[in-house]
Amino acid sequence: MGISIVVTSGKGGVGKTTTTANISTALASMNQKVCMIDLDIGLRNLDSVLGLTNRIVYDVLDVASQRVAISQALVRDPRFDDNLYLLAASQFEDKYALDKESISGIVEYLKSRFDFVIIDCPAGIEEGFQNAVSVADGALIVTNPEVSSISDSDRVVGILEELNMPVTPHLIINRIRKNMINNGTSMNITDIVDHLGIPLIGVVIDEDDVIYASNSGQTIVNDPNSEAGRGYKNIAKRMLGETIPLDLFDAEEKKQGFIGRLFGRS
Amino acid sequence: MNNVVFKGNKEGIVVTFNDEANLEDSIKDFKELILQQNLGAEDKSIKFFVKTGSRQLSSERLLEIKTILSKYPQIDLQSLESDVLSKDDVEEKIEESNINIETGIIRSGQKREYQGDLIFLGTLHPSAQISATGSVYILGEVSGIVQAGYPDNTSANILGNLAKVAQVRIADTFEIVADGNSEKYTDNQYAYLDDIHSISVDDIKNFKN
Repeated sequence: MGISIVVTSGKGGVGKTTTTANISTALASMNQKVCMIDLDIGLRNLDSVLGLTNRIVYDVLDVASQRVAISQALVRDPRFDDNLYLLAASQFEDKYALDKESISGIVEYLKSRFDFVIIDCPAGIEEGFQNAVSVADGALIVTNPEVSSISDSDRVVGILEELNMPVTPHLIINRIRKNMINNGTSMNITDIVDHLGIPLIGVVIDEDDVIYASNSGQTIVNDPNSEAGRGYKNIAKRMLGETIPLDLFDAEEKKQGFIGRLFGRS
Repeated sequence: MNNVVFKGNKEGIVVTFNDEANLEDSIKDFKELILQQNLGAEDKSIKFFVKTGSRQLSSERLLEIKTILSKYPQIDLQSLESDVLSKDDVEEKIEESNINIETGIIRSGQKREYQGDLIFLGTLHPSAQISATGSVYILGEVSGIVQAGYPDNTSANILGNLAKVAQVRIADTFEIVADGNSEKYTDNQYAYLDDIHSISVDDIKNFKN
């Protein structure tokens, strides 16, 4: 039986969709069977960043209203053999047409056929968010080292705490700007983790290449030159139980000072 | 045993209603006894202290007694009390003196309410709020809104390190700590509502419960 994980944040634009795409492809490359579900009804994005838009015939609302079977709606990503599938969001129907029961049924079915069901959650804390988090076993909270993102993540953690998920929510600090770390103007990572009070599963550096890749429907995890890619890949590895110390995401000696600044040690 | 007893002392007259007697009869006797006091001609006022013993009278009955007394302008009713409280009143009093202990993280957007006093050992995030009907004793990290005496308990206090609190609220008043008040609010203080219904602070060593 697989596990369902919702990627959420509260704040929009912090990297939920990018994170969903990248860790899903990383897991698929590590021989896991992964199904992604885009629950950002109305403004679907997950398909575009993966270059799968043209392959969408049916979407999640078609499945929820039982017009088609799930297997007909699943879009296979041809780059990962049989390991990566996408259930796309719909663009045209009212998001309120999707309810907790129907999503729950879909997720349960997918858990029986995949190792991981990764759910891309809409921004905000309204009904779309509530539906997405209600069906997940665990959550990845994506935050940026920036005050409004952290405040929103705090709010979301508070909401998730009430839901008592089987797996405790974990934190990803995304889009860390290297130049701000280097000149000491970034928020301190340790302070962020202490403030939010949930376990940190990974940090990802902000890189132009991430955008460049997604603009061409690619993820960055298999680019050996990308630090962001390495960050996402390490998150996937940790999800599979590997212990990867956070300060080894960049192993080169000369960058020790940077790592020290990253974690607030001078 | 009489239904009602009048007993004079140096303060005035203590009226005791026998709590095992029939109430109708007692009130009749009460009217009689007042007449017998012969208060008619006197100008000077006389104090009455009325006790109903182990019985709690209904508001109608209390009104009846007050109405009877109001016909005699010389009678100055000082107190009308019973030895007992209703169960609801008792529960309310217990709740009010209840001490809550909070050790958790109160997150952005959350508002927690507490009946009675609160000892806060947790962490209060910005844009979070804790609200107690009694006093709040701050021992943890607080950066949100702290409210004591909700909604109208003006004798409630907030004690502890007030320097980083966003807003201090007591009963229906509030003060923004940052607004030029950084000298007013420091560590080891207590905040209270003064005579002009505004929030004042003092050194915690001057706090008297």
